[in-house]
Amino acid sequence: MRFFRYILPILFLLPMSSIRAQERTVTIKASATVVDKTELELVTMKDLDIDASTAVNGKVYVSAQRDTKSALMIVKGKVNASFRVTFTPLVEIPNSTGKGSLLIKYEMVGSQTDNQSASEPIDAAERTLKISSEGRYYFWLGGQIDISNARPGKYNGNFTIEIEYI
Amino acid sequence: MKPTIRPIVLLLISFLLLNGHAMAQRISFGLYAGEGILLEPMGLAELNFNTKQPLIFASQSVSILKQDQASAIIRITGRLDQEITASISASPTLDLNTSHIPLSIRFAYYNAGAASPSDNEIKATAIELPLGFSSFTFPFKKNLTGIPAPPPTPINSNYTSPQGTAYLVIYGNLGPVPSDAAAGYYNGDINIRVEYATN
Repeated sequence: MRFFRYILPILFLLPMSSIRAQERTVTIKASATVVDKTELELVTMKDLDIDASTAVNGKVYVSAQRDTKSALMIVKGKVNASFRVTFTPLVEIPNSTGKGSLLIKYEMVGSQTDNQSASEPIDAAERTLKISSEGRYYFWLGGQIDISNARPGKYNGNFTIEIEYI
Repeated sequence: MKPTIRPIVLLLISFLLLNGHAMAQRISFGLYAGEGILLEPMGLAELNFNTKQPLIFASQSVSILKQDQASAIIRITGRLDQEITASISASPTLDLNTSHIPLSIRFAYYNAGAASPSDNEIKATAIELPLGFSSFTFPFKKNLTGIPAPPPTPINSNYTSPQGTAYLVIYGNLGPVPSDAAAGYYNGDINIRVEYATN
């Protein structure tokens, strides 16, 4: 009996270590990706050249992959880093001096090397690409330009492209 | 030593030995504890500051506001006749190896009682807690009459409590990002604990 007098109180203590509050918990993640401002740069090397004299049925087509009139942009960034690119594929540019507008349906191709004909099509949806071992990625921009509603005047528009590290 | 004293001394020694394995914990002695409470993050279960500002650079600060699309929502389901206590703890920094960015979390609660409120409705109506609060108690459904709610029906086999739904909105401030912060992915955890109030 003396044995139980010592052991029983200890046995009562042991289950306490397994008591847990009956709460409900959930954990969510807080996150942020910080980029170095100097690391990712987009440089326009050549603008898109639209020659209205080549229009067929009111439309001028500049092939991004084959035409020398396509625009050229270079991404300079961290070697072998992945990045995401998106762009606005359809833009209407109004005549800044009168009536009329241009409707441009952009097409874009890209490559890790300065080789336009070997480039691959980039669609407007979010796309993941990789910067080359030289820290470059090349984009060529062309598209179909509808000039059927255009009137003589001055047309200035922007092509919006967003790139960011992943 | 007297024989009657000896067991007491041994008991005290046992206490000391067990103390080495003790863990800090909060024990709820409430009748309902946390039973039947369901916590569900809605959406991506992440407070991603890049959703508010895609490119975050050194020296910048980013604030996700309550009504922003980037704020996170947690749905709480449980006994409608109970009050609940929500406690939130978060890392004071988002971390990437040895780089740290200050993080300050804020939260709001929604208990307006709408059947299936939209995210926008939850965020617009949720009541913000003052900065610095990390634990608060509120009823599942806001009492609009001003009359105290009746006491909860005791648990018995013939009674099923009606279920209520409330929401927590999590948001906050990041930064300023230190000027020498390494570029990359920073992260930290936000822990949310909910239990029935024991008042």
